[in-house]
Amino acid sequence: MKQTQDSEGLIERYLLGELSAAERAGLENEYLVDKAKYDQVCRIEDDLLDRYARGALSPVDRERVERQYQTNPWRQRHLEFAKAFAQVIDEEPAARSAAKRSTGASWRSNLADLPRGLRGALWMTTAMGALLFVLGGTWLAIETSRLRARLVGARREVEEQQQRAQTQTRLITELEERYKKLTEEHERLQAQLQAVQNTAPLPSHIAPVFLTLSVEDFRNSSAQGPQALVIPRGATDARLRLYLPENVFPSYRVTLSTEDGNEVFSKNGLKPRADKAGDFVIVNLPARKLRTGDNVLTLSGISRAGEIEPLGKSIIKVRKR
Amino acid sequence: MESVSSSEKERELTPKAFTKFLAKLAPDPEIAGGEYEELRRRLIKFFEWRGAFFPEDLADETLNRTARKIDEGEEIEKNVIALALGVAHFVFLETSRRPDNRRAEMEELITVAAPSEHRVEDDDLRAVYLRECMRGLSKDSRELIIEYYREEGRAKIDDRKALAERLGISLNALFSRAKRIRDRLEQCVTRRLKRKPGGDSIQRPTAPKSQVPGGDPQ
Repeated sequence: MKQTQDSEGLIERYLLGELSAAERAGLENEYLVDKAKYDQVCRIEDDLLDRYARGALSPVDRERVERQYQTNPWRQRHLEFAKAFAQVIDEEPAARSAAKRSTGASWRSNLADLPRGLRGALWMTTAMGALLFVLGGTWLAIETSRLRARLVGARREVEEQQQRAQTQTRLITELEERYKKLTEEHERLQAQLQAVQNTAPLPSHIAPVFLTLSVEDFRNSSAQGPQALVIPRGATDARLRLYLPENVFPSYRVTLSTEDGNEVFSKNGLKPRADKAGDFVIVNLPARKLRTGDNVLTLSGISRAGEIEPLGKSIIKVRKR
Repeated sequence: MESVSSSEKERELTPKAFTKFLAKLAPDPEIAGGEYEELRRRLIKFFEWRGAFFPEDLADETLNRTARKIDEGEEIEKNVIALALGVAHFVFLETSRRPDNRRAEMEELITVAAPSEHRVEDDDLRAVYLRECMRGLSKDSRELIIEYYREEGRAKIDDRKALAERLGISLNALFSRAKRIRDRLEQCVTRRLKRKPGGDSIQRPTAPKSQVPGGDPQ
């Protein structure tokens, strides 16, 4: 160890020009032949310069280095390089940890490395860039806001149109369903009606009840007995044909009364008609006016002057079934 | 401080002499080329540590003279490197006596004694350029030099040992790798400084006689 330290001390003194001529020649012969020795001299020189660059030398040693290296431009170049080298090497670990903390901060250190003039120009460029960025950013913000508003309006309009279209579609669907149901109902009813028409007998109430009487019946109702009239269930109308032996009145009147004399039906202005059997009048009346039992039918002629002349009465015996 | 005589410069190095020189360094031409470059690097450092202003020029002149000696049939007592070292001592002594080198030294001393604002800006630029040059390194190389050359401390030696073990190489091999990368970075920064307007450069003495093959530091 001591031998190594002595060797390194000797080399350091050689580098600082402090060896005797004999010592110097001995070392030179050694390192020119022996690569390891040469490397050792180089390493000790680098370490010496690095310690100088980092301010790790004593004032005396610092002065010795300066005397030897700063008086020779070639060697001074090594010294200047050693300063830059130590600076850059030492800032590397710090730069790495800073980069880990914030990758965004690295551009600042790079900027700080630039020469003053270049730095100023770069700051000016940066400032111009920032101004352009702000202006451009403002314009972009306004334009974006305007476009957003238009977009919102357009979206709202589209939504409304979609809602209208949906409503119309729903209405059309409902109408179609209703139409379909109505069509089905119509068809079903048509089918039922057809079935009824085809299979069911004609309802009895539709068929009218006919009764033919003559004037003699009215004049002799007490001697011949009452005329019988059967009204089937459901019959709504009764048609009475009354024959006239002498047609001397322009029109006639028929009334229907109960046994008690209460008039329940009357019809004036009945025009006489004629067929092979003679003259007659037709009177239609609701079947419900005819009550089960005896009903009194009265026939009268109406003159042109409007005078009413009774012609006779007839009792009709009604039976309903 | 240094320069070479016109009589030496006039005697140009022939391809034949150069081939003979390489053959003395190693039988394999490719290995010999590598040995030649390695010897040149050490000679440059030799002249630099001796305080020469233009160590590259002197290293090239040393190699040229050594090659010529071999071509002329000079007997090699130990090895080529020992021969080259002897020549280097002679070149250094010879050139250090020249008055134009002293004038150049004074010009440079004036610059060094009074650092200008321009030089301060160069310090900033040097760091900027170095960062750029480091970005040009492979990830492994970048990691290696950061690990190897990071801040001083007692743990530094242990850290380097651990790094060498991790890479599966010796401590010396680790230093060689790190040193090569460091030298490449320094060359990269120097080139960039030269390219900038009014860039950093070392002015050679004006005497045309002092010009030798080898050119500016690259």
